[in-house]
Amino acid sequence: MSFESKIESGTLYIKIGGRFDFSLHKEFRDASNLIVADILKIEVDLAATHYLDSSALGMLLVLRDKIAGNKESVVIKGATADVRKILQIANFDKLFSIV
Amino acid sequence: MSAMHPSTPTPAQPEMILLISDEMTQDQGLLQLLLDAGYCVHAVASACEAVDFIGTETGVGLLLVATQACLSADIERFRQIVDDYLPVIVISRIIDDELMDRYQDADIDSYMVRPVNFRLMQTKIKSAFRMRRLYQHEFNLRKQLISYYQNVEIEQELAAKIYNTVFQGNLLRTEAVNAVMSPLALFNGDVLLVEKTPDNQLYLFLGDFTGHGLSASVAAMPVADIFYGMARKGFALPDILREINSKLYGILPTNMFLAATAVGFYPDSQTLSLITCGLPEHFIVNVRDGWHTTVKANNIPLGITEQIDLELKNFSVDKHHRLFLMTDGVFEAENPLGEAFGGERVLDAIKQNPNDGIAALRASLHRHTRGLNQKDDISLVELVCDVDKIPRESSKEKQSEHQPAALHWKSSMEFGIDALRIVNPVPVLVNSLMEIQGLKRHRQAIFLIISELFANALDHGVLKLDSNIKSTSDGFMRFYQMKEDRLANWGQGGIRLSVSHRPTPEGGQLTIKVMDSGDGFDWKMRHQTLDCNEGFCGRGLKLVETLCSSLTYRGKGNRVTAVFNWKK
Repeated sequence: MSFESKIESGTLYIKIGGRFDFSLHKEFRDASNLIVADILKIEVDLAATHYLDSSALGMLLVLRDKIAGNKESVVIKGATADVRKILQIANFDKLFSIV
Repeated sequence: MSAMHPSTPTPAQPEMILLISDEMTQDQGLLQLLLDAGYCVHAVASACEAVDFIGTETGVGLLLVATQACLSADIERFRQIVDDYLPVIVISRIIDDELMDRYQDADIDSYMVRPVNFRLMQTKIKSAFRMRRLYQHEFNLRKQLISYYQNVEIEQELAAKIYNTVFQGNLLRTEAVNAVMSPLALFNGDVLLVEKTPDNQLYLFLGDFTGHGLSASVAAMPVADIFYGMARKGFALPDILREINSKLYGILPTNMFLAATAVGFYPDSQTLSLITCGLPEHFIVNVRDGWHTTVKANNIPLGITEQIDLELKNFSVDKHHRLFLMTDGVFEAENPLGEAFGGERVLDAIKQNPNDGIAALRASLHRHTRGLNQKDDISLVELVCDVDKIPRESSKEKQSEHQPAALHWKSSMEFGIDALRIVNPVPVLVNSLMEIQGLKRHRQAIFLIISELFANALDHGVLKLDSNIKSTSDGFMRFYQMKEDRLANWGQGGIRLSVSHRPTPEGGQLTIKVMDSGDGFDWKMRHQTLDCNEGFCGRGLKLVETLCSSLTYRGKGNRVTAVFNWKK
C-alpha cells in the first residue's frame, strides 16, 4: 500500500495505492489535519487502489466531515471496478462526487 | 541501562550478591573489590548458611559459588526459596569436565577461573543482573496480561448476558425467519432484529456496523431499543429507520456507520417492502419456478447524515418466495487463494436448493473457505414469505397485571394536511389510549380499528384515491406510489378523530369517530358488495366490522363511528 498527499492551490490531493484499509489510519488522520479553512476541495485518487474496506469508507467520511462542504467538495476519482462496486453498495455517490 | 533495554527498569532496591566461599581468606580481596565497586555483598561459608540467609533476607539477586561443597540440588533449593530468576556464577580453580558434570542440571549462568579477573567478573555480574531484570520485567508483564485477560473475560461474560437479553430475548421467534450468525469474537458487529407490529406486520432488521467488538455492540443497543419500541407501537418502517439514523448520527464518531436493511412483510397485501441502506445485494427467490431478483442497496448507510432520504422497494410475493439477506462478510469470505466468495456464488448456492437456501449457502461457503477463519462477521438470514408462518401474537405483548376501573373520558384531535404529510398519528394516539387506562389487553384490536379507519379517511377521503386501483397486485404498488406522491403535494384537507370512553357493567365501551374532508362514498352500496370481496382491498373494513360491536357510516360517507366493547 502507499499513501501520498499534497496541497496545491486550495485543494488537498490524496493518492492511495494497494489496499486501502485500517492500516492507513495514521496517514489519513495526519492528512485530515491538513484540512484548514483555506482548503476548499479534496481530491482522492483511487486509481491505484485495488481494495477498500468499511474502515476506509469511514476515513472518507471523516474527510467529508472535516471540509464540511457540499457533495462536490470531496471528489473520488479513478476508482477501479472492484472499488467502485464497494462505493456503490454504500451509495457513496449520494455523499461524494465520484468521477 | 543501555538503549537496547529501554524498558527494563532499575530495581527499587539494589540487588544483593551472595558469596558462598569456603576459602574466605583467599576471597577476602574479591569481596573488598565488589564492595568498593558499590555492590551490596554478603558472604557465607556453606550452602547451609546460604539457605538460612536466603530464607530470611529478601533481595538476593546473584549467587557467587566459590566452594566445591555446593551441589546442583543446593542451587535448585536456593532458587525455589527465592522464587525468582536467580543467576549463578561458579568460581573454581580449574574448569574441567568434573565441574561441568557436577552442575550439569543446575543451569549455571557462567563460570570463572581463579585467580579472578575482576574486570571480567564485573562484566559477568552486570550481564547477570540485566538478565534478571529482563526476566522480572517479562514476568510482570505476563502477570498483568493474564489478569487483564481474566478481567476482560469476566466483563465480557457479563456484557454477553445483557446483550443476549436485549437481542435474543426480544427477537421474535418465527418459522418465517431462519438465521445463522457467526460471531467473529464474543460480540458481533452484526445485528438481527425481528418483531411484529400490533397489526400483524412482520418487521426485520439486519445491520452491520463498521468495526467489530465492543464499539459495535455498544452502538447496537439503542438500535434494538428503538426498533422494538417503535415496532411494537406500530410505527411505519421508514419512521423507525429515520429515528435509528438520527440516534446513530448523534452517538457514532464520524468514521463509524451502520449498513442495514429493514424489511416489512405485510401479510394482508402479501407485500414485501425493503429499505436498503448500504448492505450488499439481497436476493428474492421463488422456490417453485426458480425465478429470482437481485435487490441492490439504494440508500446510504445509517448514522452518516443528520437527515436521511429513504427510498422503499416493494415486491409482491406469495408463499413460494424467499428473501435472502447477508452482510458483507459472506461476500468477502476468502478461499485459501484470497478469492472472495462473491455474489454469483451466493446466488448459485441458493438456487441449487432454494427450499433450504441457508444450509446450501453455508455448505458452499464452507467449501470455499475450507474452514479458514473469517475476517468479518457472517450473517445469513432467510425470510419465508408465507403468511401462515407468521405468529399472530407479538413476542412481548406485555399484559397489564392490574385492570383499573373503566373511566369516563373524551378526546378529540384534528390533523390538517401539513400535519398528515409528516406524521402518522395513529401509533402515538393508540399509545396514549393505552396510558389512559388498562386497555393494553386490547391494544391490537384498537390499533387495527383506528389505523384502518384513519387510513381510509386519508387515502379515499382526503387524497381521493380510488381503491379499485388496488384490485391487482401490480396496482397495489401503484396505489402506494400514488399515495406517496399525493401526500407530498396535496394542498388541502384534514381529518378529525375523536375517541370517547365510558364504563359498562361488563367493562367499558370505546367509541371512535373519524371524519374527513372528502366527498364520502356510497356506503349503502358497500354492504351489498362486501361479502363477495376477495380482492386486495375492502378486507380491512371487514376486519374492523368483526372487531367492533357496531360500525356506522353517516352523512355522505365521510363520517364513521366505530364502537368497541371490552370485557373485564
